[in-house]
Amino acid sequence: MANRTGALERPAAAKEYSSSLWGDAFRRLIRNRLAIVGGVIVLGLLFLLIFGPLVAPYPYQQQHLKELVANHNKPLGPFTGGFLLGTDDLGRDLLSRMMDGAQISMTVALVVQAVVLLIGLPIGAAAAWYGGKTDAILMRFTDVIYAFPDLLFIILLTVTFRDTFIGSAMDGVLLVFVAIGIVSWVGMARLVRGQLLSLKETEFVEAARAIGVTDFKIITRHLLPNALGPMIVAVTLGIPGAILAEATLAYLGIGAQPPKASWGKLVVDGQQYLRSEPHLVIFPALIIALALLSFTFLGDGLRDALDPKLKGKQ
Amino acid sequence: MIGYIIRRVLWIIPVLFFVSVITFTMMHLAPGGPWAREKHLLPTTVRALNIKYGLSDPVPVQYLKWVGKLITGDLGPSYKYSERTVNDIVGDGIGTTVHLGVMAFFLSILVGIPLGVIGALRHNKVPDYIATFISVIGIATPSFVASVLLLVFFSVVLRWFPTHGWDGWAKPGAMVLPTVALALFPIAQISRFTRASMLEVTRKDYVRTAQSKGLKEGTIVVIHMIRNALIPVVTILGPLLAFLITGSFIIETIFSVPGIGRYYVISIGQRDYGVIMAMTMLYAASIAVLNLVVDVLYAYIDPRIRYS
Repeated sequence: MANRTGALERPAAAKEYSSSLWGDAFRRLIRNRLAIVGGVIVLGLLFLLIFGPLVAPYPYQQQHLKELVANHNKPLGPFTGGFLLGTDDLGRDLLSRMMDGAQISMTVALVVQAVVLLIGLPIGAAAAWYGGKTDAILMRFTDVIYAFPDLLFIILLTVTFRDTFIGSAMDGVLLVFVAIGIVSWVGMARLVRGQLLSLKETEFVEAARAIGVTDFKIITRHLLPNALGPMIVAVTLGIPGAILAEATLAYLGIGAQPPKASWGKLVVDGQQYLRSEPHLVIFPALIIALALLSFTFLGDGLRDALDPKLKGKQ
Repeated sequence: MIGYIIRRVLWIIPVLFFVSVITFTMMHLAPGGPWAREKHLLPTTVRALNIKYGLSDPVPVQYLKWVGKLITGDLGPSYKYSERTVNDIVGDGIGTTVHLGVMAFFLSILVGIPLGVIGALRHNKVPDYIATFISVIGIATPSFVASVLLLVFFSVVLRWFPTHGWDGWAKPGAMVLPTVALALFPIAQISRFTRASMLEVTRKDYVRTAQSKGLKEGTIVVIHMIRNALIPVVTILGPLLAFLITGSFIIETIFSVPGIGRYYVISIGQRDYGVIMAMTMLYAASIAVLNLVVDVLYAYIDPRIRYS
């Protein structure tokens, strides 16, 4: 403010400072090419989540036996007989199966992060706002959850609650997703707590308390919106971990049951034909990699865009 | 500092207590039992087995008995491998699992940190792109995919390394692929972290001061930049080592490494209660201890940090 000439020499920077946080962040984000590519692929995968079965060339479980027999009962290679990515050993179109698998992986992404927010946000917020004993108890509770070996706990959860109503929802996969969420919320709780602890001391919160705004309203209207940036980044960067966990569990035979198959399961199924028909492993592996990378790049881009420390530096 | 360490060590006890109670309860809530196998046992046989192993007691009683034995170092019997105790199973495999984990840990540090440093020093130039590309592959490839691809390429096609037959240092060739497969993700994580941290340090005033007083480039990088940049990297090493030791069961299965990881999944499916508890406690304890070690180490290398 004191240095007016400095502002005049750099009109672009001055203009940026006058704009809103979100407008600013959006402009920085669309300048980040990797993040945009990641974002477009994420949108494409979300499109498959909703319209996957409609745009797939064949139903995912349909066996093309005639073509399979004509090929001496071996999986068809890519670009043969109308199968862009070939077929598996049962004559099912690989592309259609991958498009169907996208539904599982994208649902994982959404359900797991929903569970993470549902548990992590209230716990982190309560710990930060009430402090003292509440804080100590809640944070020790997160310590306990953190000490569980993730995959072991997920497998145990899925086995224990298999026969309950949640175990039978969505052919049993919902339970797997919720279990992944239950071991993943600790980071979110710590993040929310950290953010809120510093925001709690600000003057606008003090002002809100002085005029008698309720705790709940201060947290939801004043604190959380200000912590939204880091939370969005954490959610986006948490998605690859969730997709990876689902793929690993599918590899161990936990999750979607045949004929449905997630990407991880496609890799396992293709493994036995690795030497003769490597496309059965390579294409599903590539789509897993693509999904993981897209969310990582988008999350990195969001972090750079929303991090006020970097403001004006690029 | 001493007080802090003592409090943290004491805190591990209640953590392990809650972990064991939750696991014990869930395990016994799970439908089925250790005797449900392919061949059907007579109900009378099952009842006799339950009484023999104390499985007909109420769950809290069973828990107390288990704790009592645990204190004396007895992990109980295995219901699946009737000729071996859980102590035998853990004792046979733990060395191998730790060996594999520690080797992968050092490999990921030795490769990850230089990759990150090079990436940051040649920011947005070809070496940076190569380093980023390697870490991108590490992040985007699930370990089971990486293992399978490594196996096919290096064992089947090139025949450089055997596909299995882990035998410690007696057969170094067999250690290469499992170690590399396990280290791939940590390499990526460490190098990304190091790179970001180095870039942060590059902008610091003390680096500019060092440059302006004419220090040699190498001195600035080694003494001023890397030392400071590695401080945040240390924080992820604890969880990482825990991940490497507890997360190797897929690798162990694929490469037939005789560690304890493969019992991890099997024991839950078979309701082999003793093994499930042993695994959970072992992993929970190592996670807790390693995190503590890193927190203490963190204060040691960064004098600005004070725990109270």
